[in-house]
Amino acid sequence: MHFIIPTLLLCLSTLADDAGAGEDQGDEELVVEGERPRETASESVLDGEALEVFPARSADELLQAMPGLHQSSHGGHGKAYQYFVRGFDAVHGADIAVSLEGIPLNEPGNVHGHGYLDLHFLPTELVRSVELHKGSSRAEVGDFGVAASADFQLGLPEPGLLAQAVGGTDRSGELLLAWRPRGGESGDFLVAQADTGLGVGEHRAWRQLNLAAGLEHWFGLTRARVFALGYQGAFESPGVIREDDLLGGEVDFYGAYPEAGDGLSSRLLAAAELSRPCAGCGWRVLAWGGLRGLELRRNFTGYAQHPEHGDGVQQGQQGGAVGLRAMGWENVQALGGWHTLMAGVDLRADSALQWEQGLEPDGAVWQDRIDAVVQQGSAGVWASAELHPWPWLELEPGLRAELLGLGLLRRLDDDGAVLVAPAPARAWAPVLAPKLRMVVAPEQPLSVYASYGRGFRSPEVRGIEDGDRAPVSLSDTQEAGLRWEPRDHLDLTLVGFHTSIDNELIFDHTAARFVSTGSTRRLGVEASASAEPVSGLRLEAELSWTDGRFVATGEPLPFAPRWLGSAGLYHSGERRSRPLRWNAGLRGWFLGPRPLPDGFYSRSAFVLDATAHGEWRRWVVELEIDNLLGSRWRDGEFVYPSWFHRDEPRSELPVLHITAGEPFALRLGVGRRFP
Amino acid sequence: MRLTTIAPILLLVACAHEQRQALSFPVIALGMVENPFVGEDQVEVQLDEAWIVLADLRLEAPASPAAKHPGHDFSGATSCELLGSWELNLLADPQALGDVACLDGELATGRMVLTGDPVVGLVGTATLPDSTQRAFRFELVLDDEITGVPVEAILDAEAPPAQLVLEISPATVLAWVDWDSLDSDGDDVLTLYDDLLGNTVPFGVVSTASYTITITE
Repeated sequence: MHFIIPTLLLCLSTLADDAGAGEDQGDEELVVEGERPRETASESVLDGEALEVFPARSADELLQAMPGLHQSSHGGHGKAYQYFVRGFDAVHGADIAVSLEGIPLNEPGNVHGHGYLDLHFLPTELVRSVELHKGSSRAEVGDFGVAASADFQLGLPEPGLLAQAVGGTDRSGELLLAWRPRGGESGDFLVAQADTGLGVGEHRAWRQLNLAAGLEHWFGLTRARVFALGYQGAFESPGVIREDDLLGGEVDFYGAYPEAGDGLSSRLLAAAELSRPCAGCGWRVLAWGGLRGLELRRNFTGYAQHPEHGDGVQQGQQGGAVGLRAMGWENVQALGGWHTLMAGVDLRADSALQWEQGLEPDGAVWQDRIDAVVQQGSAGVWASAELHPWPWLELEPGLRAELLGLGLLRRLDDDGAVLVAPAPARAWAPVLAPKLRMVVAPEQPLSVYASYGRGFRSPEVRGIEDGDRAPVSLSDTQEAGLRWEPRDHLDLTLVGFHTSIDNELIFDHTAARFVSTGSTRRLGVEASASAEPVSGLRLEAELSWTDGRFVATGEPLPFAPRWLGSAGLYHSGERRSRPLRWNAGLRGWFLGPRPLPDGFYSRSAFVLDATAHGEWRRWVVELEIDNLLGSRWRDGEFVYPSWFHRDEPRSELPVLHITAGEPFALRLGVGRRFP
Repeated sequence: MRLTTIAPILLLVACAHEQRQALSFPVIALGMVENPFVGEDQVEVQLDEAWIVLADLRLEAPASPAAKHPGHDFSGATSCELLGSWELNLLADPQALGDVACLDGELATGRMVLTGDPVVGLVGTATLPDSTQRAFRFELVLDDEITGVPVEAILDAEAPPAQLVLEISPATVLAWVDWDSLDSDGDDVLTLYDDLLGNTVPFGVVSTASYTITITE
């Protein structure tokens, strides 16, 4: 059902256009409003005004609207975030599958992290909505859909040209030009965005350029769409600071060591789509391709591992990917009810040149660690049937079958020499992922949800041996929930879940092999409430608790949050006589202590963000306030030995290292719309 | 309920975790308790000199599940550390090395660095079962690390241990010596360089069996 409801709405919109053909429709767009029924208790959608007021500086941060998800940005303004969701430390995206209009965005085998998920190429201005799903009960989600998945929808809501300039106390500036032709669809757009800043503190500068173009046209009932997004970014990364240095006054909370890193990131993504929605059936075909470049330099340990050279590391990747996604659906009537049958095919191929090198403090390369050409391909087919055997029951069994192929065409041997032959290794792995979801009393004030899904994560290409049946990480998630709407504008949800992984595999980059960490399980409860006590005022609150442990030892899984909570107050209003429109949001979130390696725990954090958006005639004003209370919260906390001060003895005792969370910053933007 | 009310409650509920606590306690090292001694091979050994140069004593927690893969880093994270270098006379009274800095929790293994030129000196006379006497002088140059010395203790910052005793046993170091080795250079003193295959003193030096770590309450 993932694409069906939005596309049906578009279909209705088009039929309405056809009915009014020949008339001057001006800038008015027919918007068919309707809330899509939930498929699972834990899914949510961020769109419209909720999207406008959600405090997010980049598309990545919109994912924080998913209850129970926490992001850490330890790499600076331009590197992929680290994700934690439902007891998973998804690192840079390994357990959360994110797509744009169905295009998978995780990068398999990325040199910095499997499933690397960097959404900086996607301007927030272009995000029309985000669907957020937890668990793995959706058949259309493939690789990396272990803990959660999300899909961004693209489009520019307002016609005309918007020119906007933003300046902030974090020494940042941004220029935005966004144009949608009069009478055009939301998929017709040109967007250019330049963003630069020095940030608060040391070694936090960034600059980014985003360009995007899209074209959408209807040929009768068939919609054709092409779009392309390009991004180039450079950023400094403050890295970590030792807690004892912070407490000893040797480094400021927003300071950085001279060994801090930086990065370059670029991405080009283009897609062409044909779709034909109609009442009762439809299909969609999407072909896409992309180019990707990434360079990262970092040093999180000083000289602890290589006292003579320093622990500086440079990683890089140049590659490309192509893919095809096709799906269709049809409503059928049987046994006294309407049912929807869905099926799809996903094809994808990735290829990349990767390298990792040890760096001297002056930036000179002293060691080659990775010099590889990696390839990964996947072919997935899926089918599901949304059945309504009785009016009070919705049942959707599904199955996804995927064949993964991996190839390592070049690598280094143990002595650092490049091996082309016989180094090439190829491996494959079949995956069968059954799904089942159920809703009792759908669209009633009290609905009961249950679902089961198997998710999977492909192995990292660099770890395979020739002829291997590649080891795939499989997760099984059961979820049950209640959704209660006792009255209009009041929505209460309670969800419990259990995820088990029989054999959790991690890739040891030092040994270049897969390491089994044994069985793990996650158990959790999520509660959320949404209310609109008076028109235009919305209250939202969420609380989640997760307990993740190694089954054999009972030890907690490191890094994953246990307690996460958030509360938001959102207001929107309009005076048609002026004309004036505004909305504002105040959102606070709480992160409880997280178990860290070696028996440590992180500190808790409470952060309050605010946004305001106003439009008067053709003028647009935007205000964003990060960390309204100015709290010095710790975004990331890590435990390991390091040695940054070589005049001191080289200790191997693990110590806390931290990355500073977003400081107080106020950004004000002023823009004007031109018809 | 207001946000300002919820937040402090959540903070109180969720901040109940205790961080690992630091503690420290003294370390003493001792060597020979009997001189002369008789080994399992019934060779009586009289030591005139016995010393070793040790550096950087570290104790480790049990391995985490992620690190238990065979052939991988099987030791856990470092939990105790005493940095420095000590030349220990193994025939003398116990010597204080300093205070070891620790984090509370369970310990499983210990390790220390052996580096020096020479790092070990064992000088004396061995009396074989047939009453033959052989003078020996073993001086070993080494740059190695002794790892995996068993330690059984759970450290509690509220009740720190009285001391850590590091015991080095020259008897075990010499347990693998072939006292019948040829005196290749004919100087009447058995050394590392005598006989075709040398001898096994280096094995005894790096063997974890030669070292005992005991943490006393």
